[in-house]
Amino acid sequence: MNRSWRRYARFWGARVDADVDDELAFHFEMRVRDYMARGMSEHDARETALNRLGNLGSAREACLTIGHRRQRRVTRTQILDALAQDVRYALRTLAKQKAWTVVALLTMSLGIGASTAVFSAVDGVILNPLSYRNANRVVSIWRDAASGIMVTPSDAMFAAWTMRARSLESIERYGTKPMTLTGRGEAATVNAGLVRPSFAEFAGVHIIAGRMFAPDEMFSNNRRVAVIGEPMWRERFGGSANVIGQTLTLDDKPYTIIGIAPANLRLPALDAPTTDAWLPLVKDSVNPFSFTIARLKRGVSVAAAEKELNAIDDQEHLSGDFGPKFVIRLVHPGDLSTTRTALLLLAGAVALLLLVACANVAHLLLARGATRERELAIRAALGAGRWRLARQLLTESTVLAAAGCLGGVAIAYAGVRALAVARPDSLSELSYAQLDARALWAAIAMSALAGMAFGCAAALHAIRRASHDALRASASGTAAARTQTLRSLLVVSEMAVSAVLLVGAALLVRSVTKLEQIDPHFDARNLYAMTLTLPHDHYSASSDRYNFVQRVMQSAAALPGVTAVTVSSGTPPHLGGVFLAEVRTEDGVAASGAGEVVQPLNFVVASYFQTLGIRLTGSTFGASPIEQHEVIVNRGFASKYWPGQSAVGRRFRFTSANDKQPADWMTVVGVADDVPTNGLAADLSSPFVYRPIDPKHMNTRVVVSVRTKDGVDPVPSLRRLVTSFDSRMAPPPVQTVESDLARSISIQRFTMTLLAAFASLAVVLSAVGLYGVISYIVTQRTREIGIRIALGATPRLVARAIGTRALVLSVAGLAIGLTASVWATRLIQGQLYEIRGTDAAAYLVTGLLLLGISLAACAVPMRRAMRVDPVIAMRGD
Amino acid sequence: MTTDFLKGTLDLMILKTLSWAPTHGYGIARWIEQCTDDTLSVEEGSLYPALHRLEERGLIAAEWGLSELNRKAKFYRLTAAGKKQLKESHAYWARFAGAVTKVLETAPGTV
Repeated sequence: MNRSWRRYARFWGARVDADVDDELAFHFEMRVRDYMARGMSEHDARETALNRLGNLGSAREACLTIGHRRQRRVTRTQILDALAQDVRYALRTLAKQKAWTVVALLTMSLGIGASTAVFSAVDGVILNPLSYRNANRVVSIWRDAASGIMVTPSDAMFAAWTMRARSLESIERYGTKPMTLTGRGEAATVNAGLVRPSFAEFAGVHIIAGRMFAPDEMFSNNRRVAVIGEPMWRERFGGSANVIGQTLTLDDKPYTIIGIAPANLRLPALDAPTTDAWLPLVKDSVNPFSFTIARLKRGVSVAAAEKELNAIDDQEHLSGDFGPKFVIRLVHPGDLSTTRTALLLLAGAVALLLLVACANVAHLLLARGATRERELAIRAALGAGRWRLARQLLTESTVLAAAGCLGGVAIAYAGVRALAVARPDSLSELSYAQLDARALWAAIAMSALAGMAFGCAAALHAIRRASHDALRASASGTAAARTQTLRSLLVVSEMAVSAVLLVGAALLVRSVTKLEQIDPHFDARNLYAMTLTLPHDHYSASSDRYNFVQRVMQSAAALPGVTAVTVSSGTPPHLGGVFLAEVRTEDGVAASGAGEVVQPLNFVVASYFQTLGIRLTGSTFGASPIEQHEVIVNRGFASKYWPGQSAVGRRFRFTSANDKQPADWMTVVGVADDVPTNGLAADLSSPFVYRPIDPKHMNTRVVVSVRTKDGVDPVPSLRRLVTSFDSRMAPPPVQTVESDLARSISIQRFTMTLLAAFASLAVVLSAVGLYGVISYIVTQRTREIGIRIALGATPRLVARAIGTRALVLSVAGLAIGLTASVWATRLIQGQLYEIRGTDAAAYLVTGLLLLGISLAACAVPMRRAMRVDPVIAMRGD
Repeated sequence: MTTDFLKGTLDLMILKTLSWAPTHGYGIARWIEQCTDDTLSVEEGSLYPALHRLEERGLIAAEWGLSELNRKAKFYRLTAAGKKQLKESHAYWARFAGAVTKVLETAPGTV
């Protein structure tokens, strides 16, 4: 009893106590023996010994104290020593199997890196787009039309909410405005952010130097003040400290610089360009649109705040500004990102990729455990304990995981940079994305966990084998069967996930191909669009603006190689403006009964259709005199309001609830082909209206379109031409309409490219996995194959058996993957253009591709199996 | 002072004993007793703490083994550091003992 307890105590490490007790007991026994040898009876001997030794308690205590102290010290150094030794050994073995290590490291690094980069982007753009204080309570406020178009709230609403809303902690209003900077080198366009004095505080950002403007500086016309942004301060002022007090000329007006704002002071509009200068927000007839943003009070829900704001509007009779159908909506800024769905899709895809990567690391570790059975068996036979071996294997997986994580961090860092550089123009917010620590930790945790879990599994298995089968050659125990099943399951799931990714990628490729093949119904080749923004102060009269544009057009037409010039408020793929009204045809109520609509339109001149190559039924506008009642509609408009009939000669008008008197009738003089007006991906046949530009009410912003002969680049001369007419203007942006068209589907192309990259990566990884399993099977069965060949099986039969095995795995994976895709592709249906999620071609391509790659992956082990020499195989080793 | 002195003596005797051959605690006790014709009886209460202290200082090393009577016993042996220590202590002790003896053997009044 006593003894067994001691053994137990010793097993659990209470060695010191048991040892001291044993030692003293031994001493006592020896003393007794000695006395007995001198002739004492056993009883007397024990008595004498007890007397002599007296109470050994204090000696025991002293020994225990020393022992424990020693043990602590020894264990510590032992552990450190053993760890260092294990790590050294792990590094050596990993270095020995270079190919294996490289594949494992690449797999881990790519998995961690890619997912961290994409998750960082998602976090930066969607989840946490604003680096504002308490950003999770910041919402932007919109009026939502039934048609899904969002309109900014009116000034009156903003005033009412500022006074009365209790659910808001603070509320801000802001606008943006491109302005012309002069007096510092060549005139340039800069972006001004128009804000209230409290904006910096709202954002939780401190001004670097100087100060933000004061409330009384908001409306002062004799002293204009500006806070410049850090980037402009560095680029145009060389970061010099004495800029404060200097003058900045914007749109020909002098502004005194009173402060410098840090680069992280950003406007909440996600696709807003960087702000060069911050100016007081004043009501401005040129740029009447101001956006509204607010921070909710702690604990107030979005729904409750919406309800309160709508109630205030009702009480103040403000909701009727645009008709009664607008309700107030509060939206988290990230939800407004146009790329939200695309990024979420990519996040899902990269999560799947991470899964495949983890599965593959697991594979590699299991495979490695299998190939090292012999080595481990030998070490076990030489006396290495099981725990020692397990620790060794675990150290290896840990070292590997650590190295993989380092690689992952590097790839993630590069990936975030690459995303920011390769981003489509419409994804400007991606340039703000930064490596997100949480995303990184999550990815690292996941792959480290996979590494550890399967490292453990491999270790346990290998150790069991090492002690079981010792040095027996190719034993096929149940444990081997179990890992084989595990690995087969891993391959099947890798295949399945890859199939889902491939189907998604194939669908997107098909969708983008279709988008690129869309006939835009106009000739985009050799067409240039120059956007002119006329400074309102110099061209306050519409006739001045009209005359300036006429002069530019005449000179542009005279440029060499230019064949035609026209002007409009917008060119495809953009619209020129919108009209909020009800369309009433003369024959009765609007056919659709839709009530008020947001009607996109374009103000053009007579030459517009011919210059752009848009086919017209009927006629274009008269060149002069300009008849304001004439209107041209697109085919979509005609078939919506006069289905099956000719629209030419019909009349309709725009009416609004606020109209004091009915608007004039407009006569349709022509029907134009449907051209893209909201990007290529939008429905081309949505109703669209063209009206003649009115010289008396021309906008400050117009687009001059120029068509040239082949091989002519009119861009530099066009830009020079404008500045030569008015040196106060910055050279205007000129773009080819073709590139504009391409840009309108750049998000789709970006998503497609990334998804295709992820899918290919996943396929390669699963092929590596399949290769691993099949070659393991071949290694395990070399002897069996040898026997079969000796018994007359042809190499072809052997190959077929192996091939069938591989095929079963990949077909099982494919079947699961394709079934899952039917469900999964529903999630990306919104991203697809004229392609259904069940597109047969995508599934077929996926199936064939995966099968082909599977066969390629098992070709090498298959050939090895066919070449097994029965004599060598059966001799064993 | 006295305890340190005695402790030092015991340590020295243990090291010297082990310089012959590795043995267990009881063996050390018996050896010292026999050498001194049982005039020096080693207190078990000091012997074992002394052994453990020497082990901790790395002057001796211990290992479990089978005793002559086939019982498990803790055997101590001298380490390299222990040998060095023994040499130094031995020389020191010899000088010290010689000095004490000189003092004791010099008759009073013959100065």
